[in-house]
Formats: sequence, structure tokens, C-alpha cells
Amino acid sequence: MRSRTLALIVAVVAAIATTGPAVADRSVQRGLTLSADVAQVAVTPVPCAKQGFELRFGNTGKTAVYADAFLEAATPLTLSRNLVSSYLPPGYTLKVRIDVNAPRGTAPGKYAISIKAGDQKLTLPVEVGEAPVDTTGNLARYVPVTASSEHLPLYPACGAVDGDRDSEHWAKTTGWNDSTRGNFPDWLQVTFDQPQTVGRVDLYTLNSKQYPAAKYGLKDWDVQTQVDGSWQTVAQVRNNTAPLVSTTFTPVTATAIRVLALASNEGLTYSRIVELEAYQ
Amino acid sequence: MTEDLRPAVRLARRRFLTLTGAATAVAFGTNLPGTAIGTGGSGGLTGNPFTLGVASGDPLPDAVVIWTRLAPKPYEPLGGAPYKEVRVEWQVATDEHFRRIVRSGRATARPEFAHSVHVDVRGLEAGRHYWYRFRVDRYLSPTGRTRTAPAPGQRGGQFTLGVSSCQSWPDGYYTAQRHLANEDVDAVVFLGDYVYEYGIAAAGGLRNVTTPVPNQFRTEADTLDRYRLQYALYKSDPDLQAAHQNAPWITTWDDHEVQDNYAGTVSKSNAPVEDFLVRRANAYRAYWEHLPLRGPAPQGPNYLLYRRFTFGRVAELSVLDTRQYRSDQAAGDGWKVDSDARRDPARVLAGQQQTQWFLQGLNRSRATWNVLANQVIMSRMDLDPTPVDLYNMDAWDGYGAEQKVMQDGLAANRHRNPVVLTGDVHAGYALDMKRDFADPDSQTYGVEIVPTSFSSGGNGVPVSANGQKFLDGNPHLKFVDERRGYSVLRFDNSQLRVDYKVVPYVDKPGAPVSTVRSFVVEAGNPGLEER
Repeated sequence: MRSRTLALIVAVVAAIATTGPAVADRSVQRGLTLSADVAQVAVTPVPCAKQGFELRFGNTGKTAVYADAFLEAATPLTLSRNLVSSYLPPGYTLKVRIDVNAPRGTAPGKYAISIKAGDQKLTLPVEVGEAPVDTTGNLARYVPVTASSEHLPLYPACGAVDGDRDSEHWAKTTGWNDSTRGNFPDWLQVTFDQPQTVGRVDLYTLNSKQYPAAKYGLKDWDVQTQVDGSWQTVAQVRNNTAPLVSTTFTPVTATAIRVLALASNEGLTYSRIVELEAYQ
Repeated sequence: MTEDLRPAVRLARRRFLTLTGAATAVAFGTNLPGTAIGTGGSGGLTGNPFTLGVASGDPLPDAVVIWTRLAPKPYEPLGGAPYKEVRVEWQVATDEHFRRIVRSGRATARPEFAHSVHVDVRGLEAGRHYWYRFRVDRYLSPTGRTRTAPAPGQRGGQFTLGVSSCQSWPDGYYTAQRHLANEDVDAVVFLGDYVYEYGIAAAGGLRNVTTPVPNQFRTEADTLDRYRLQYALYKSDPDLQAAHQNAPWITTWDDHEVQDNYAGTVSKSNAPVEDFLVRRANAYRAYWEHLPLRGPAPQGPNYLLYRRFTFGRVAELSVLDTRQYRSDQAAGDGWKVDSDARRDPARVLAGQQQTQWFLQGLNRSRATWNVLANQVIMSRMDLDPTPVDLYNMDAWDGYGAEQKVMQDGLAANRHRNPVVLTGDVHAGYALDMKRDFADPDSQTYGVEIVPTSFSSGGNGVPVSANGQKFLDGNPHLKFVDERRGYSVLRFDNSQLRVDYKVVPYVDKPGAPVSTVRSFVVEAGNPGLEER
């Protein structure tokens, strides 16, 4: 029987492979390289803008390493990632897409992103331009969009408010497809910066030569508006087979609109919206 | 920020570090407000670092791996920990109150390994429960319960496994894991797809969360930092943590720990091999960092994951890796009719080395039950009920030559009671493995148990249209249920009992669990008998 006199147990069994530096004062990694595919990043300060750069993170050393590149952007810019860690074989250069975004209202002008890895540092200039203005009256353009789920990377929610109604561009990030096959409801929502008067919602569902609306488009959905913090259903569409359904209703002052997708003409699969537009 | 170390506290800490056994229990036990033991060697951690829970795994008769990862802010770069080594103390006791501590020590959490801690605790007694915990200065981890394997050669007794696979986080709540945490199992076998590589929407898919999933989760996992984030999200789930806390896990991977349906060095998008192997290296490293596996950690794109466990004379468990070594899927993947490519002997799934390792082990085994932890369906599975055959090119059917080697090997060892456990398909299946799958009267040499998925696939249905096609086209398929859950397998010298457990929904928390079907297999008489 074991007693309490197990004081001599030498059970410090740190099974972690001793590949890292053995001392706390670790030396700075050398032989790493940092560069970008552009000399300057142009940024438009709206949600969903597709912009950024390709980080090139290389190892010129003779042995494989695991290395980290730390990225920081000037406020209020945001990066799709602030750390890139990777295995880097000798002579290998990793290429990683980094998205750069700025919130609406960001002052146009010059900003910078700084990247550090080992003893290397790269400063990448950023030029923030003017925010575009929608001239068609579509309230869903250039405002934040969210969804119950997104089939990434090819079918993001942003694709449903990008101004592209063409179903032939399907599967090229210009339309939204949820990622929960067979499960309904799904939803897609745009949120306004300030309350807007809305009396019409246009929904373009998938309708290409290969994927006609009557077979693959959205069949049943509710149009909902958020008024004074609570959601209300303002219209119900059922048994749709058309590529475009324009829903009009008594105008409300809404902070957000939402399409609650209930069924697809394909059956128990996915919700697919090529473009969602909202008007007064 | 490093907190100041008060002199009295420093003294207390020194006492802690120099004492072991019962005295150590006292030191851990004083972890109460106002009696904090202070910092020092903590690397300047601020905030509770045990946000991802604790785990144990790979039990041997005298050893088990205990695991944790320090991540005060799990969704931040480096888990919110400083880029420094951090000292972690650990204890293993024979009781949950740590009155009788039998092993203790210190480990180093290194930033190169995401501050994960893997301690291979040796010198334990066979076939008994232990409790374990970690400490970093004043932060004490939750307590985990684990269990060593029965002594080699031990006859008699019962051995119980909980088995499942495929736990896509955005596909639903981990209700099944919560129920598994309440089962009295000796170990959990996880058959792959522990994480999915896909980007995750702010609403968290079917979970429809009120706190948005942060922006850094939108992109697909490809680099090491990004795979680590995915594990951090999954392992933050309290239900998954509870399942790990209850029993040791024995895990293998399938495709989604790297990328959907990858095959060896071939990616789904046919990326240059050089690039894909870097991705694979990143994914393999993150996998090791987050699971209770023995060292050494993977270095680069290769990692030996297949391994074997013996549970007395009752059962032996061989854990396969059918992703790392496989040839590209035939005929462009998907469900395809029969073809020469499907049966090409040059194409492998497990690979010759692993296949021979398995079959030689099976030949030498002295255990009553010989269990295979496998990813994709090994029995013939025809999706077309008409005379036309339609096979899954990603499963063993898509690698017909090696499938035959395995099936022949199992059939030759029919007296060793082969039991194949399979994941991948997000469905509960029970199959008799037949000498000739086209002839229901031919000899049955083993059983294949597919215990369904924990969450992948969402709520699911009892039997879908495809599920019915499988039933119609495969007379050796005895049961289909396409809801979420797990199976409990109870082995003893004379029989194996399998309970299929499912929850009615996972898009909301709190579903009850029920046993929807049970089978018994008699030792020496392979084949499923419904009970």
C-alpha cells in the first residue's frame, strides 16, 4: 500500500518535446523574412469591402522552424488576423491573405500596419479613402450584414448586399448560402446605422441556368423589421418560384431588417439569396 | 502584467514547491479567497488560465496522460498568455478531495506549444480511478477523473467504452457530450472530426448565439494560429469539458482536423503539395497541442498517430489513421459506380505498413474482443438499392484492394471477435460484416458499429431517404438512426452489449438522451442480435 512518504517521487514528467529554447531567455529567431504583395493597402471604410494584402512570411534558414508573425493596425483599422503562426520548412515562403477593414466614419488619410517576426519588422502603409454613397435608394448597401450561418468562403452574407444581382456569378462570393444543410429556418439580416423608413424589400433568390429558382431558390420566407428593439413580421412569402420577389408593406421606421428563410424549392437543403435590397 | 509578490506569499509558495504528498494537498487546498499563494514563474498570466478545461487520455495499465492549456483569453492571439514559459504544478490522487496524492510535479507550458501541458503520469496502479488537477499560482484548474487500463493478462471483469465522432461546433450544442459525461465509462473513443476547418459565422450556425463569435473565426483554418483558435472555441464548451473531465479519451483524427476529404498529400483543392504539407503540419501540431496525447509533438507534416491499447484479456483496441497515408480518392471522389480505379491494388487507405501492423497485432492478440477505432465505413455500403452499385469513394469501398486485405484479415481472425468502430457519416449504423456482402447467408466474421456523431449534421432525423436506401440495398445493415448521440459498448468475457444513445435535437441546449436500440454480440459467435 502506498503511504504518504512519496516525497521522493521524481515525477516531473513534462512530456513536451524539448524543441523550444531550454531557457526562459529565449533568443530571437533569425532567418525569417516578411513582405507583402502590395506597397500600400487601399481601404474603403464600409462593411464587406474586400481589401487587404497577401503576407509573405519566409524562412531563409537551413532548418525547419515554427514561427510567429505579429500584426498590428493603427486604430480604427481591423485585420482578419493579428497573428500568423506556421511551420516553415527551409527556403519556404508562406502566403497568407490578410483582410483589412475600417468602420464607416473612419477619416480618410494615411494609416499603417506593422508586422514583426523574429528580428524582422515590416511597416505597410494604408490609404483610407472616402466611403461610397448609394444613389439608388437601396438602404441595404454599405451597412453591416449578418446571417444565421455562412457557407464560407464562397457564399458569405456580404455577397447578398454587394450590388451584384447576377445569379450566373453564383459560387463566386456574390451570394449567400447558409451552412446548415437541412436545417430551417435560416436568416439574413442588415442593420442600419440609424433608424430608416422601410416600406419595400426586394429578394433575389438563386436563379441561374444551372440552378433555376423553381428548383433551387427560396420557397418560403418571412420579412421582419426591427422597430424599437423588437422584431415584427411585416410580410410572408409562400410557395415562391420567381427569381425576384418585391414585398411592399406599410412603411415602418426600422433599425434592421431580416429575412427568415423557412424552406427551399430544393427541399431540406439550403437557403440561397443572391441579393437583398431595402427601400423606403 | 505581473502581480506583486508579497513576502509571506513568496514563503508560502516556496513551501508548496518543496513539499509533496499530503503536504502538497494542503497547499492546493488553501486556494481560497485571501489565502492566494501568489505569483512567481507564472510568466505574468492575468486571469484564470484554465478556460479550456482539463483532459486525460491514452490510458495504459500504469500510466495516463493529463492535459491542460493555459489560455486566459482563448480567442486572443496566444490565448491571451504572454510569449513566455509558464510553470504549472500538477497532482494526481486516488480520491477526488486530493487527500491521498500519489503523484505530483511541475511541467513547463511553452508558447511554442500554445502553452499546452501534457504530463505522462507513470507509476500508477492498473484498473483504477484517479483524480488530477493543475495549478498556476493562485489559479486552480477543475478536477478531472481518469482511469488506468486493467492489468495486462487480467481475466474477467467488464470494460466499458463510450464512442462517438464528428463534433462540428456550429452544427449544434454539445448535449450528447454532456450526457456522456454522466455515463460510467472506462474510456471514451473519439473517431475523428474533433474540429472542422471552416470559418464560423457570427451567429454560430445552429447555435444561434447571442454573443457573436468573434471576427477572427470567419476565415477557414489554414495556419497554426488559426487552427489553435478553432480548438479554443470548441474546447471552451462546458459540455465538452465535462465529457473530458469524466474519463480518459483515446482519439484519432479524420479529415476535418486538416481539410474536408484530403487524402495524404492531396488537398481538396489540389493545392501544391509543398503548400498543403505546411498546412498539414500546422493542423497536426494544433491537434497534438489540444488533445491528451503522449509526446513528442509532431515536428513537420508527419505524425505517427496509429497505436494500440490493451485492456486486460477482455479487449484490445487498435487506433487507425486512414488520412495521412491514403492515396487520392478514385474517380474524383463522391458516390460513384464500380470501376477499375476503385479496385486498383496500387491505391491504399491505411497504407501497407499500418495494415500489416494491425493484422499482425490482431494475430498475436490474446484479448477476447479486438476493437478497431477506424474513421470511414469498412463494410460494403451501397447507396443504390437497384442492381447498380453506388459506392463512397472516400470510404473503404473506394479503396477496394486494401479493403479486401483488411476484410480477409478480419475474417481469418473471426475467433478473435473483431469489432470495427467507425465515424465520418453522422449516422448510427449497426452492420454485420459478411464473407460475401452480396450473400446474406454467407458467414458473419465481425460487426461494424457506427455510433453516430456528437453534433455534426444538426438535429437529424431517425431515418432519411438515403438512410432508407442504405437499408434497402444492404441486408447486412441492421439499424439506422441519423440523430446525434453516442454509443456505449460493454465488453466482458462472454458478450458485447452495444447501446445506441441519441438526443432528439441539438439546436437548443438541454435535450434528454434515450437508448434507441441495443444489440448483443456473443463472443465466439460474431453477429448482431437485437436486445
